Amino acid sequence: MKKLMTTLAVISTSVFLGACATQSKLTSKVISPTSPEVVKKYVLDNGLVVLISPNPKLPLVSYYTLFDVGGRYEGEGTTGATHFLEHMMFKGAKKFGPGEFESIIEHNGGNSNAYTTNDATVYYENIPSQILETIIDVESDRLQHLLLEPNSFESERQVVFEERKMRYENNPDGQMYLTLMKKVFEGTPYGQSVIGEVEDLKKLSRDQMMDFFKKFYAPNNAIIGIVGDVNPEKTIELIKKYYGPIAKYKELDALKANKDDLKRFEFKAQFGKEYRYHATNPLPKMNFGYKALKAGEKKAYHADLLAHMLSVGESSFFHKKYVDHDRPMISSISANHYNLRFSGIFYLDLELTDVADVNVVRDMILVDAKKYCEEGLTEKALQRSKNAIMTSGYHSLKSNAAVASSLINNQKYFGDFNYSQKEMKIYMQSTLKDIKDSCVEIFVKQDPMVVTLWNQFSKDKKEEVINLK
Amino acid sequence: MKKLLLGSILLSLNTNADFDVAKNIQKFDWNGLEVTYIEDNRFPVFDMGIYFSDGAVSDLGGIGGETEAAFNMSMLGTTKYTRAELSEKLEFFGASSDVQVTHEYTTLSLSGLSKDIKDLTKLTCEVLREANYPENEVKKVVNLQKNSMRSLENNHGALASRIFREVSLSDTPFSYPTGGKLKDLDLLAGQNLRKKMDHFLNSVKKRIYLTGPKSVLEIRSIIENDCRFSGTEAQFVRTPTYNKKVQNGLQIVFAPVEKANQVQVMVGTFLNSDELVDDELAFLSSEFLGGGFTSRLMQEIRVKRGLTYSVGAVISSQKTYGRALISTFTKNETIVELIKVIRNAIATSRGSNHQINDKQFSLVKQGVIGSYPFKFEKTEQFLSELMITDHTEKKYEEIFQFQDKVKNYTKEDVAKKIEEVFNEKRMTIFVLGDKSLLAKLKKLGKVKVVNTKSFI
Repeated sequence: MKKLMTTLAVISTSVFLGACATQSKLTSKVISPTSPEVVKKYVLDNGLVVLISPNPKLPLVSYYTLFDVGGRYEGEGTTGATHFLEHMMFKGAKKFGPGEFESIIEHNGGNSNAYTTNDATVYYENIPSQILETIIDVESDRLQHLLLEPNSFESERQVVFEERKMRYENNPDGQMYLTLMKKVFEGTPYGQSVIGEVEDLKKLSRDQMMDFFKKFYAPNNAIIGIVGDVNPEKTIELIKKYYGPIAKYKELDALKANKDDLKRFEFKAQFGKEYRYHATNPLPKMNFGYKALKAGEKKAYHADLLAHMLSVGESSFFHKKYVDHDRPMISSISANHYNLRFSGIFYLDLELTDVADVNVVRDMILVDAKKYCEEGLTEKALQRSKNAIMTSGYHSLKSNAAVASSLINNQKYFGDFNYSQKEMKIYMQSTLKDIKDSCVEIFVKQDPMVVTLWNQFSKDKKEEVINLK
Repeated sequence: MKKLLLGSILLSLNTNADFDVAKNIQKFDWNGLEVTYIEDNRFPVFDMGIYFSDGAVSDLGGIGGETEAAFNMSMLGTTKYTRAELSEKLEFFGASSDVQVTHEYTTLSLSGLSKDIKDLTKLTCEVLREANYPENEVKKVVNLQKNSMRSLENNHGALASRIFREVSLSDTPFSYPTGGKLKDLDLLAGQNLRKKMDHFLNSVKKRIYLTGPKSVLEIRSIIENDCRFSGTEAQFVRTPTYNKKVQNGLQIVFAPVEKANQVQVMVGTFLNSDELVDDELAFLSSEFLGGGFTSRLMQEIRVKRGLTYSVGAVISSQKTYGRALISTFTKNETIVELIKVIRNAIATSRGSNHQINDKQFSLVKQGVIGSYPFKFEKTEQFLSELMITDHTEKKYEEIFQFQDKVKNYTKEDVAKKIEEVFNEKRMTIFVLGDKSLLAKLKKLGKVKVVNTKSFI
C-alpha cells in the first residue's frame, strides 16, 4: 500500500508501546492532528465535504482539494484527459482570469501544484493564512467557471507532451512503471496511462474536456482539507459563502456507479508470460507483477509489511540473497505493493548487472519466489518493518501539507479521515503468520507477469511474448 | 552542562514574526564541540545532523570520491561486527540515516524515535570509529557502483547536470563529481578509506544540530565518550583556495547522445569568492528570473510558448564559491528557439536597460517576503539552514533580517545582480541531446563538442 505508507498518521503512543517490543517506555501522549479530537468535519448541502485541522504554530495554511476523478474514468481515445484538465485548471476562470491564480499565490509567498492519479485529482496550495479567503474564492471560481481558453489549451498540450517525455519516455524507471501498469491492468479502467497516449492527446478537443469537467468537477465529487492557522467555525462560514451556491451534479452517482462497477476492474491480462520491449536502458530492467488487493483490505496491509520485510535495507532478505555477492546478477531489487481504489498490484522491480543473463535471472526468480515464504520471513524482520512504519508515521505528521493530504485521501478511500489510526493498528497487530499467508497468496498461488526492458532487445518487434511455463 | 543560551542574541533580533522555533534555539558546549538544539515536543522523534567542516575537495590530488566512499562504506564492517550484523542492528530501529558530501563540507544525518537516540548514536559512532573497510566488501560495493554509473548514460537529466558542473566549473576545485568517476572506483582501498575517516574524526572540526524532546540531550556523554568528538582537538576547517576563474566570452558546449527525443539545456556561471555577497538579493533575483510560475523564464518559455514543462533558475553560494544556473529541457525541434528565448529573457532582465516593470517586481518581492514563515515549518529544515549559516560563517541574525533586507531592494538592484551573474561574457550554455542537433547549435556560435563517456 505504497500510497498510504507515505501518509501514515499516528495514534496515541499507547498503541505504539504495545507494538514495539524492544523499546523502553514512552510517557508522553501524542495527539495526532488527524484525530477527531482535532479535526472538524462539515458536509455542505451540495455534498461538499470539508475537513479542518487547526494548527496555530505558524501563520500558514495548507489547502488541499481532492476530486474523485482520475485516469479510470477516461474512455478509449481520451487517455490523458484528466491530467490535461489538471493543467488547464491553472489557466484562468471567470473572476480570476489567466495568470491571476499563480500571481495571487506567489505574490503572497505561497506555492501550489496538483497531481493526477488513476483514482483522483488533487490540487493544493500552501499559503500564508491571511489569504485563506482569497484562495477559497479562487478555488470556488475555477470550480464553477473554468475558461479553457483556446490559445492556452493548445500551448498547454505541448507542455504535456514534454512532461510525458520527461517522466516516462526518457526516464527508465518511469518507462518501466508505465509499461508494467498498462500490461497488468490491460482491459480494465486502470490499464491506460494517466499521462495519456500521444495520439489521444493530439486529438483531445476543448469540448471533450469541458464535458469531462462539467461532469466530474462538482462539489459532491470533492473533499477539501484545510490544515494550519485557522479557526474552523470562521473558515466553514467562508466555505459556505463561496462554495454553498454551487449546484451539485445530480447525475454523478449514477454515472460513477456505472464506471466504478467492480466487474470492470477484474484482472483481464494474461499472466504467466514475459513481455519484452526494446528500450534505451543499457542494463536490463525486469519487473515481476502479481495480482493484489484493493486499498483498505486487512490483507493488503500484510502485503505492505511483506514488501518491506523482503526488500528494504541491507539486512533485508532480497539484498542478502541477490545483491550481496562478489559479482551479482542483480544490482537492485525491491518489492512494492501498490493499492488502487478497486484493485492492486504487488511487484518486484529489478535492475540487472552487466554479467546477468536475462533468461537466467527470470527463471531463477520464478523458482526462488515459491520459497520466499519459508526462507525470507522472520519475527525479527517483521518487528524491524513495524518499527520503520511507526517512525515514518510520526515524521509524516510534521507538515500541514502532509496532514491535509492524509485527511482527504483517507476520507475518500475509506470514508474516515482518521483511517490511518486503524491502519497503524493493523500494521502493529500483524503476526508473522499473517505475513506468511499473504506471501503464499502472492508468490505460491500465482504465476506472475514479467515485463523486461532493454536496449538489446529487437527494435523491430513492438512486443516479444514468452510463455513462462 | 555549559549552556550558551542565545537569549541575548535573539532578544535583539528584528524578527517580523515571533516564531517559537526562533526563540527556542539553544547552544551548548560539549567538550568544546558546538551543539545547536531546538526543542520540539510535538512527536517522540529526533533529527540529528553531524557537520564536518571538510568535503570532497579533500580528495583533490588523490582519489576522486574517497570522502563519499569513506562515509558510505563505513557500514561494511568493523573490528567487532560484520556488515550483515551492522545492518541488522541499525535497521532494526526503523531509523533513517544519510550522508551528504559537498565539496566544502560533509553532513551525516540521523533520524528516528527519540527513545532510540542513545543506542543509535552509540552504534553510529562505533561504526565510524571502528570501520575497517574489508577488501571483499569494498569490492562488492564498487561493482554495484560501476553498474549504477553505467546506467547514467540513459538518464539524460542527471547526466546533463553532471557534465554541466564539470564544464562550467572547470579550473576550480569544485568541478569534479563528489562521488568520483568510474576510473576512481577501482582505486578505493580500505586502508586509505580508514585514513580518510580518521582525518574526519580526529582532525576536522565538527558541530552537532539536534531537535526533539529534551531527553535527546542525554546523548552528551555518548558524543564525548563513545564518539570522542572534541571541539578542542579537532579544529581543521577546509577553506579551498583557487585562482580567480576568468572566462573570456560565451561558451557553448554540446554533448551528443543517441536517439534522444528531448534535449536538456543548462545555462550558467561560476561565481568567485569575492562575488558571494548579498545572499538575499541573489535569492530575490533568481526568483524573479526562474523561481515560480510568474517568473520571467516560466512565463516566456512555458506559459507563452509551451516550450517546456519546467524551468528553474538558482543563484546559490557556499563558503568559497557560488553558481548561477538555469535548467530546463525542450523537444528537439525547438532547441534554438528555447535558447533564444532564455537569452532574451536574461537580456531584458539585466543592466541599466532592463525591462522589469514595477508590477512584476513587486509581485516577486512580496512573494519572497511572504514565503519567509515556511522556513520554520519543519524544525529539521530550519536546523539545516542554521548549519549552512554556520558553515558560511554568517550570523543567525541574517536569517531573521531576511524580510527587512528584501524589502529594501529595488528592481535596479535585481537587474544589476542579474547583469553580474548571468553575463554572456562569462556564461556557459550546455546542451545534451540528439547528435543531429549540432548543426542547429552551430547557428548560435562556436560549439565545443564533448564526449559523455569522459564524464562518467
